[in-house]
Amino acid sequence: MKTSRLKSIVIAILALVNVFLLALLVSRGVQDRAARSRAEAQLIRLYAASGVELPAALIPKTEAKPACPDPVRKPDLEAAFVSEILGPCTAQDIGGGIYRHAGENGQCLMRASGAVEAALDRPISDPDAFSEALFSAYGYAALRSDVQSDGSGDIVAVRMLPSGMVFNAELTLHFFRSRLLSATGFFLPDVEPAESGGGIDGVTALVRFLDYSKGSGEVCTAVTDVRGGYLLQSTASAAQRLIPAWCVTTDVNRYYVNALTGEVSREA
Amino acid sequence: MKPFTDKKARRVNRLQNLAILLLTLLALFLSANLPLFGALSDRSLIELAQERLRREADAPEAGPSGAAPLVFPVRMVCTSEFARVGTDAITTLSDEFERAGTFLGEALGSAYAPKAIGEADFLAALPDEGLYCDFTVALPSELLSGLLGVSVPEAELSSVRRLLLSPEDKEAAALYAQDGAGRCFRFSSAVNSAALTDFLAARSGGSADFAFMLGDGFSRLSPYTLVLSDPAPRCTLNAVNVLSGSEDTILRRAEFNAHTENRFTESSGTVIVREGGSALYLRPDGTVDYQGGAAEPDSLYYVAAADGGVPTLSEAAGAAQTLVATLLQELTGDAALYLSDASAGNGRAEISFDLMADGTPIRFSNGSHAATVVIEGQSITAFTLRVRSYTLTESAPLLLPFAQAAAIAGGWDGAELIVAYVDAGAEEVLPAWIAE
Repeated sequence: MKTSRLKSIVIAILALVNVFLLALLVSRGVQDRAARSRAEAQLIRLYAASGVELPAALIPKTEAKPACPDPVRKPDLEAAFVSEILGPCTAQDIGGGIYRHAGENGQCLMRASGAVEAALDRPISDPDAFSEALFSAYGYAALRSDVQSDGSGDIVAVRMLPSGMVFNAELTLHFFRSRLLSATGFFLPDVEPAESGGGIDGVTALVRFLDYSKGSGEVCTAVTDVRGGYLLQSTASAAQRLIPAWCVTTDVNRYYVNALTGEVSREA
Repeated sequence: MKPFTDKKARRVNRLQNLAILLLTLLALFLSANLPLFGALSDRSLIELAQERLRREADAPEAGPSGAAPLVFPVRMVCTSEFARVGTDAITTLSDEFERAGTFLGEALGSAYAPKAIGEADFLAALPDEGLYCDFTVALPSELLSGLLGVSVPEAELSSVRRLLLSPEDKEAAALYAQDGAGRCFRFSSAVNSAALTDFLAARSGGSADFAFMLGDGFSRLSPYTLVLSDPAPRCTLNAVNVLSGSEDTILRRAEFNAHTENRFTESSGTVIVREGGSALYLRPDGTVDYQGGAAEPDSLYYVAAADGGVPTLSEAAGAAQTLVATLLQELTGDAALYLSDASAGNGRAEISFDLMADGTPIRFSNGSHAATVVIEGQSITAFTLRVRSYTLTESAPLLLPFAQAAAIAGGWDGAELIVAYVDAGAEEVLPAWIAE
């Protein structure tokens, strides 16, 4: 038999094998989607039976956020961040992982946990523009602002990493008559996430939340938002640790479901 | 026409080769994405490879000496405005301590304005809002510094037995510390009082009291005796001497030749193995003793020192832990080692370890330690350890009610009542109140 004919036969066999494998893969995808739809329908019924409304559109279709390595403090970056708030200042290591930054406008403590505690008195002509510049430079997303026309009020932002929101790393700037009086919250450097996830998915997180609310007696009537992100934790062995988590917002409170352990905690 | 046909045939041949290559690669790609069956849990090869990579990346980091981090049992009490909750069967690796450790680290690291105070002042601060930690042994400051990643004020505190962190004003919290000799100090610290108050208020669990708060009936006990409304359940332990079945393993791990001719058995049943200037004694009661001299740098008995050839206490403890953990690897069952004593002076250090099961210490009835390591210069020159394996059973025996135990312990003035397993050498090891 000629070589070219043999090759044609091999090509035909390979094409058939590929069609077979593709069919298997597609059928797996269809089965997964069907199973997922069934799980979502059951979840909505489960919530309805507990008297909690769960719109189907809120059920996350994505996996949990991938795990991140522990953030590493960058004193230079912290100093630059603090000088944006305080103005010119000098830093002093006072032990325990705490840096005290002091300038003529006030002082700021930066803790190993990422906590920021600034008390100052600095004139800011346009609080909104100042906040926007600060937030965009250091990776925060503005959440809410109640600054009045006289330049008094709070502006709150939350830290956004390239891979997701850090739910409990908020930063609050307090203004009074166009003077910045305090900045409290958390600051952490950028962290590149690991490539893969591995945490519990959104459906499982919602089941865990329902179990928690039944067991703990927490009352709510509707889930209003579900999103994946991170929780910032501070422990003795790791001052800053980012835990993949799901944030479940209800009409009463916000809850976090640890995507690694399934543990549910209520927003403090 | 022939050159044209050849050219066409070559082109067809090339296209066929390309098609075979592409189809083969596509088949491999599709196969790798298809779920496997059976024991491989319905996951594809790619998913299994990703999981393996993730597991390797998540593998726990070893300490600088290659051993697991040092661990200590802890008793902790959190007093908030509304409640006092406590727990006594946790370790420095437990979640409860990990979260509290952030505040303790900040407090110890930023401590300033030290002031020597009396024990009465320390006790007077205990009922107030605060975070109390009892390390159950006097922890050398150097080791505590390593544990919390901060610098403990060693000028005042060479060791730390108890800590109390109390919210004071908005800016700072007060740190009370008691060392191994019972001396007490008060420091100011840069801990945020509001954050500490929030942390204390968020704690939940069974209520706790200190004995001195409970009135005259308990006045003969140590004031630090912890009375928990909901003590952690402790199960009976099964204990077995596993030395006889592990002699060759121990010899190999201890860098001795198991097939040496210098191995003989005494009439008492003790196996003695000599090698060079070192000797290992394997005793029938499960005890292993070692006597040796200067160690080579690549030996398990060598203690690396970063500075000037004299190991710090932390380096000595790390080397001792590596040795004991290597020798007892997988031989202690459900029990875990913890560092129970460390002292150094005149170029000699003595490091002792004990065992705990589920955070509850195991004490030997003769008062000895589970392992003791002697370090001279940069060499481990002697050690003693017990090779016993413990298994937690399902049965949880009832402890004597605290009041009765306290009445009995009242005979020993100032004794602290704690719960520990008492190993008298029998197969069954029960939890009991011990006064120490």
